[in-house]
Amino acid sequence: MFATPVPAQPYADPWRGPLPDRLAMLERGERRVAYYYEEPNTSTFRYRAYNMAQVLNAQPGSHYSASYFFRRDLVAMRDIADRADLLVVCRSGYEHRLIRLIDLFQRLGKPVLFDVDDLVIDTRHTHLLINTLGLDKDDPRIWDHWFGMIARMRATLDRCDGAITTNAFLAARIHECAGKPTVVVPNFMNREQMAISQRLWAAKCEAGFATAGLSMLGYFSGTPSHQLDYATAEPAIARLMERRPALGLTLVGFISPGPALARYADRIQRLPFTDWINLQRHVAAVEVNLMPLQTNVFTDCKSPLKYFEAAAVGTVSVASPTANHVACIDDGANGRLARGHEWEQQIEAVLASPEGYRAMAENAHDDAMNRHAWTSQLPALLQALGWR
Amino acid sequence: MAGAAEAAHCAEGACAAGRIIELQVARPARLPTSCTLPSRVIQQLARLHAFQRQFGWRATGSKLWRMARHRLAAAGQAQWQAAPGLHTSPDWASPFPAPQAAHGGRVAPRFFLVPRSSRRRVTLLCERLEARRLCDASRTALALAVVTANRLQADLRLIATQQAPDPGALNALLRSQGLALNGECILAGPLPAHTGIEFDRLDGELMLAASCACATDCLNEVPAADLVCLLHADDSAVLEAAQAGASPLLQRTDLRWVVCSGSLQQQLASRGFTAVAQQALSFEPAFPLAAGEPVSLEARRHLLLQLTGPADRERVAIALAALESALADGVLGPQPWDIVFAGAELPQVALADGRRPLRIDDLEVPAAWQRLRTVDVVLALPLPGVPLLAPWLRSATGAVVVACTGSATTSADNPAERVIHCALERSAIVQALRRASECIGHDVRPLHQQASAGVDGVGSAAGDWSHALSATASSLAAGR
Repeated sequence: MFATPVPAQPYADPWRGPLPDRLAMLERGERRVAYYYEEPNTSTFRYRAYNMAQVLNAQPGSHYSASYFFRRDLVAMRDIADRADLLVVCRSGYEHRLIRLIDLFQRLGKPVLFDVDDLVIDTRHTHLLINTLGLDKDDPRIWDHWFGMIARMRATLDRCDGAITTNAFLAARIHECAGKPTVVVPNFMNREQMAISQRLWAAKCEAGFATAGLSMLGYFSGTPSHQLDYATAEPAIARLMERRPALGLTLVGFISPGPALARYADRIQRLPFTDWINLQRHVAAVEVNLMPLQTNVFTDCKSPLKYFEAAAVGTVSVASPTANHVACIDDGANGRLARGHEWEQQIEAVLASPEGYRAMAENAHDDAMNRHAWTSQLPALLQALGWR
Repeated sequence: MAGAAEAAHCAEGACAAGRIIELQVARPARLPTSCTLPSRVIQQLARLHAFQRQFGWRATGSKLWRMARHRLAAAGQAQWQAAPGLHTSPDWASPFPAPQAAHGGRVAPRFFLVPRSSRRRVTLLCERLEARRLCDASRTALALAVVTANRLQADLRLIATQQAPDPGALNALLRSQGLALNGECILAGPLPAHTGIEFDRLDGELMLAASCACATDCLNEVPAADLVCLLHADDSAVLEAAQAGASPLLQRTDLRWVVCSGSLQQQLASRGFTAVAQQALSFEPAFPLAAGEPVSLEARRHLLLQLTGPADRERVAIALAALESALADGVLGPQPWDIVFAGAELPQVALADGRRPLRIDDLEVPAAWQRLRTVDVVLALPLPGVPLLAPWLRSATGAVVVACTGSATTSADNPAERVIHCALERSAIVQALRRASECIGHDVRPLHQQASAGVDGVGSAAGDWSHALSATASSLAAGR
């Protein structure tokens, strides 16, 4: 594994300002966009609202400003609507206060866009989604929850003037089912994530990509719903660990190793769910970032964020060939694509060649810096907001 | 919510280094299905949920936790198991019985329909992927599925209901067969009884059943129009139908059939299966043995005893007795011979001279196919009334085939075919082996080279699945 000389970073959510501060943040620019998300979190909210606002607010001058608001802020919906020129509703289900906010904007002649990062706007795919997530299908509350959630998302989308999403594949699905104009603003890394990634990358380069101890595979999960995705790669992991006594596995988050790996428990490192800043340290430490997904229309809509977050710290990814993985990974050049029967050989291909590893890591890092950093997103963002 | 946090806190105390030591929770966490909880709480609840599933509890309230303590005390330190997810509150009890195994202990796959998307897919349904056997139906079905998927620019999903598909074996098999899949490969299985595993099915997705049993399993789940059933002489249900002339499945007119070999189709037609006779597609199988590594030229000869269908004692005993006699009497010539068995049901035996024949089924896939390439004589034991695979065996291996078809000896009309029929009698088999030995003695070229040169007119197509399946795959792909 790689040494990570960057110490653990103190972490606090950077978006926890009080409402007056966030309203004031909105007022700084000539063109103002309000992002709405039900509750702040480190996944969808961070990528689709916080990061977007950061890009706009970081531009020199006072052309643009952006802020974000939550359900609890809707007591001040009039203030939000008065101050913003545009509302982007991020992945939020229909509810009375949100619809009043949307109505308010639209009565003021201000456009409202719906931002969504998963295929959760079409109930025809609900069964597939529940199956993909491995949920308990015998529990009727599962069906109530997911059908209800998706129908509510769709109802919100239907009330909006257009949609923003993370990739062309999902954009096509949204347009197909809702008929809304849909534009793409990809997910990307924000300033804080880039800062720690750059330190980790620099340290790795300075050490000449030197490794010590076990070679580590890594699987990083932010939710417990990826067990079936992870299972796609586990047989290959078991075979590799059998063949390579110096191979280990790091599991971060909610994934548990299956019985096939029981023999290798002493080589498995399990780490708890980690904040998105310090997660980069764990990702940087492993040789191979595993990105298995079941391949279907739901996972084809997933963005390749695990790829570029690993690439930013010089870690090579091996990924299932979903639509967006194929779109960003050039097999053998900046990562590896592994079909269902190829996981073992593709991971082996990464581990077997230190020279090839460094070349792939550098290519992937360049790609991450050029295409997936917050500094290169303004054009797409302005276009999506109708400001260009 | 406080209850959830409390339960999680207690559970955390009970968990150390991934093992349960003690659980001291008075009542379960009652959660709404959707709620926002700290990630640590969710993680601990996921573990509780997994533990509940592991021990198969279906209880509510404090009873659950009494059972928990009891079970934990009995189990000592129990290993946590993976949870499929946490979106069920722990007190849910399903009113539905667990899925039962289908007839014969098989678990039929369950499907649900999803809208057609930009991604196309061909699904192959088999009980297990058997990589080593020369004439295995699942191997043939895999070839058909790969060629068809490539034709459709589709992904391939392989569902093996009884044994997890081994990616390594699949890779080796594809290589040995000269097959390359262009799209994604999705592996699924096995399907344990008492699980609710379901598979999505795209509207209009081609579902290829490798056997009659798999097709039967799917008929309640898949529209007949989307289901294609492979009929192969390796399938016991097909053998039974070919012999008895009765099969409810093969009499159906709403299914699509693909028959491995025109002679099997003719056989089934002669038994009155008119739908198979009139509507089925058929192809001749390929044996692309040359796709493997080069064969070293050896002085030793190799005889393959190949069994089709169940290993009934009498049939095998006669063949073994004939083989021992031939070896003892030097009927096969002066060279040393290695004996290889192919047929999952052939027993492990020691021959009279003490040698233990090598079983193809015990070898790793590359070694098995390497071994098959060196065969000089095939002693084939087909079931009576079932078409012989000898021409393809002959074509693939270059071997001379002695086929115990049960009929009187009918030395091949065309000597170039080098298929020698004989009755299933000891003396007849010995005599046929003598002729086989004479036959191979006339040709000084290594036999596998004769095969690759296409000496018998079955030709080079016999080594290429893409060629052999081209027309069939085109027909299956049409309109999809």
